[in-house]
Amino acid sequence: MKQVKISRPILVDHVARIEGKAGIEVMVSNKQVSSVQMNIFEGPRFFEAITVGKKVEDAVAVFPRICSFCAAAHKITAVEAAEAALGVEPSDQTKRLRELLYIGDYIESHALHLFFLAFPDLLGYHDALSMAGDYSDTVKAGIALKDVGARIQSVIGARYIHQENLLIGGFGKIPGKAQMGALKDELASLKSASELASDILINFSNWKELDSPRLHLAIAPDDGRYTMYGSHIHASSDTSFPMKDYRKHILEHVVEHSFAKHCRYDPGGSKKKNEPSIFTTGALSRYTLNKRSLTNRAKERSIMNKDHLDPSNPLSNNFAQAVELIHYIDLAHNLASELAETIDENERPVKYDPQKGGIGAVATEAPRGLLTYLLDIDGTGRIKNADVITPTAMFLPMMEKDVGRMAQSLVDGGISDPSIIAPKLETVVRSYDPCVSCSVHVTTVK
Amino acid sequence: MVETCSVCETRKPVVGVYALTSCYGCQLMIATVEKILQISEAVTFKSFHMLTSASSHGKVDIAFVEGSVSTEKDLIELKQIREDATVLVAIGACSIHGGVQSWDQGLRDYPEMYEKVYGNGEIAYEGLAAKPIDHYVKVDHYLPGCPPDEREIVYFLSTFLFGTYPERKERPVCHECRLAGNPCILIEKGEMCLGSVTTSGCNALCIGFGIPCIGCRGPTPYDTASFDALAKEFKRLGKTREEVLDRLSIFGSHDRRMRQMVEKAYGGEK
Repeated sequence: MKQVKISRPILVDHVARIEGKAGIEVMVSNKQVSSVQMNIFEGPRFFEAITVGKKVEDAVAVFPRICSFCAAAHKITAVEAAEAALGVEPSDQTKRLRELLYIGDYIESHALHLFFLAFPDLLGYHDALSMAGDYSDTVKAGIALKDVGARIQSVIGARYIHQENLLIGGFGKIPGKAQMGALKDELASLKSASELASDILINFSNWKELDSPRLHLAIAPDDGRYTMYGSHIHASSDTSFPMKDYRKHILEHVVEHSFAKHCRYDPGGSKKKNEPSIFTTGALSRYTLNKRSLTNRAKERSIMNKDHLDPSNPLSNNFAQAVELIHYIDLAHNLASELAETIDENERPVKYDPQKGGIGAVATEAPRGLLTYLLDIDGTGRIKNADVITPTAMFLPMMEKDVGRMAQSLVDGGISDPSIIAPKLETVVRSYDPCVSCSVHVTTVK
Repeated sequence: MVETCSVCETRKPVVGVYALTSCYGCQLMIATVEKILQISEAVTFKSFHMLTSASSHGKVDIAFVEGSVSTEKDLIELKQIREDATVLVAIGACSIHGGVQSWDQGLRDYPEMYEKVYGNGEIAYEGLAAKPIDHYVKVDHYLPGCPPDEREIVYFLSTFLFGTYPERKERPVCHECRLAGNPCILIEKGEMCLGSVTTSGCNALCIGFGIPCIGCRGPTPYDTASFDALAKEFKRLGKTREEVLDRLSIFGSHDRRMRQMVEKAYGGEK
């Protein structure tokens, strides 16, 4: 008898509760997962192309429009790439204010992801709003954390999405001591709320089906401080490279099924023994590589819960974000306290000459992982060439692998109903906290 | 006729929040307004993918649509939303003005840009040019901003709840800027501020921070923006035609009068 090959797709048209519009398509034939695709439906927006020929000041105002969840990350990284290109050295106060603004982005983004996007899955609700009846304190804490993150960004950046106050060389207007003092007090009152996310997650174990060793990349803290800054990127394979050389080590390529590119890590160095390989980036990678530098409160919480922070399991990313929430509330409180005493409202932005031109490459840690910008500025102060790689483009291949792993183990366990399998795959995707708008900032359509 | 939600006074309105091609910032604003819990009690969210997995297709009383039409799929979705919605609100710069992804629209023609930017022909660009949604469907109300202002989102919802409708902001940012008591950074500092041609509603937020307006709320409606007068002033300040067009095109590239009026001010010189 002729063998008939049966192919059956498991489809999720539109993954809910993530940033952006993406679907999952898994093909199963003869009980084997034969292909996994994250289908990205959002249209391309060509940021690297439309900024070419534009003045660098206009370009850095447009880049953060790549993404709303991490607009501050895009703005800061783009501005610092422009500064690196033009040889601009901002003041220490500017650096501290930017760091606090960036932390605001982390707090807002992690709080939104955990409380609004991820927890409804775990607790069995469609959304955080319907959760509010039974988990009133949890939802309120999530909202309070999200609000303080937004407030930090509004105080320093003028608003919490697309912060226009951030300029090459400094700020348009510097917040006052009283505003910093108010932030300090609000942050102090949220220390215990910042532990609530991990309290919830402690009750849910990682799905063992997803266990698989993986390569992590994160920025190495220069001065022992766990932040979004550092001059080198290091990998869990004990390799590292200077962040300004990222283009030699993080290789992008186009895949047919999405408007987003995929990435691989090439450690370079001796011979061809290290083939470029897929990797992951984000809170779990930062935790795995930099955990020594967490604040004491965050460290304590993580030491007690190592099972939830297994670097081999993608679901650990949720717990790693919860640990970072504690860490960054502490760090933000310290910074706001310091600035409330020392801030000089009259400091002006550093003057610079955009026509000096040059090339600047900068990597920072966005809430979702590594974010890189390269800006090449010509002798008229216009963008000659721009390159942006977002965290989602970096971890997309790993995410597809994990979706495949999960689907295969469910099929192996005799589960064939797509309506049971699909929500589980969505949970896997959500744990990465993907940012679809970010990933489709540019495309090469053949 | 101005569309209102006639059923809203008698029962909870059914609301859909949809995204075409965008940064998702408008949805994020709606999802994170401080009163979101109260709003979720006052309306039923039928579709809001960012917030809830209980999202489905079908009839809604009020649809908020963010994003530009940048793919065929966007267009099919938009037409379906229009069919399903009693009141359709375009929210945000992408939906109303084509968004920053339209920056190059109408500024240079495609073959010229293609050659200038890509040279080697690697990127095929045609057919994907971003368009505002009212290029394709009837829009009942416009809620501008990149991102929209939280107070305005609450205002829009409130008017619908009581069976009336939101008034469109018609005055330029300068109007609110004067009321806020800011010094004029165009006249006093020579900055390229777009406040005089940009729709108000932000209380001149950026200018309050000493930052020139880049026009994120789009040109004032009903063809009232005086691009020519502003361009003349920029010309007097020594700004080049290209600089001025670039700045005005970030959020205004689809305005049919803008380019022509700037060209007029510059007397056709290159």
